[in-house]
Amino acid sequence: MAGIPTVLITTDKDSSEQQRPPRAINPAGFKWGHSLGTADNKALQMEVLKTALKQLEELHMPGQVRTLSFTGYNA
Amino acid sequence: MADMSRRCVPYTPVTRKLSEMTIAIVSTAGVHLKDQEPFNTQGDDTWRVLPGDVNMADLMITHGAPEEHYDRTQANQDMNVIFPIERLRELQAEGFIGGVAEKNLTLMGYSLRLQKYYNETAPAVAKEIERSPVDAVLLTAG
Repeated sequence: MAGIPTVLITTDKDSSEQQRPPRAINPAGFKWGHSLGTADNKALQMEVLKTALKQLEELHMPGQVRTLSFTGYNA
Repeated sequence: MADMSRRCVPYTPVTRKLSEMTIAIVSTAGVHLKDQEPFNTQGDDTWRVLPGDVNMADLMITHGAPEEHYDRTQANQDMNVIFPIERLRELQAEGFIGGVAEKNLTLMGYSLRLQKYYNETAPAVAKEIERSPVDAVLLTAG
């Protein structure tokens, strides 16, 4: 099989959507540089990471970036 | 950029369960080992290979983007914010994923030679990943 499945976590939805990624999430309101949240907030990092990885198993509209809300982000 | 967006979406289907998949990180956040050559902040299309069992204390960031475009304060305290290798190892331990790749690739994600980045760098990175036993890639930027 050619290629390898990817999933993107982006904090810049507009720029990422121009590239039409096959699977991507945008944590709502996260600043640039805070892809999985903030330092030492393991629960939030885990939630974002698991949500991103689950995109690999879910039906997805290739080329779209999903904006999703996460609780516990304070930056 | 417009040229890239006209191309078809490079969608590769998944054939295995997440719990059976080995995951690699490819990041453009400028992370590298402290003893690796830093990225050239004027523009760099090279990459660094980071092992899956890397010690977080051995990592640092070199990136040309201004702080207002890429806030490093959180990542400098905890690299998992942009390079979540510890979180992946924990997900492997709990069986959520099958494994963490031995080779993870990082770039700076800032190059003035976009065509070269698209036509040469990205395919070379993909080839490097495909040479190792990896089922899917998590992409993070700054």
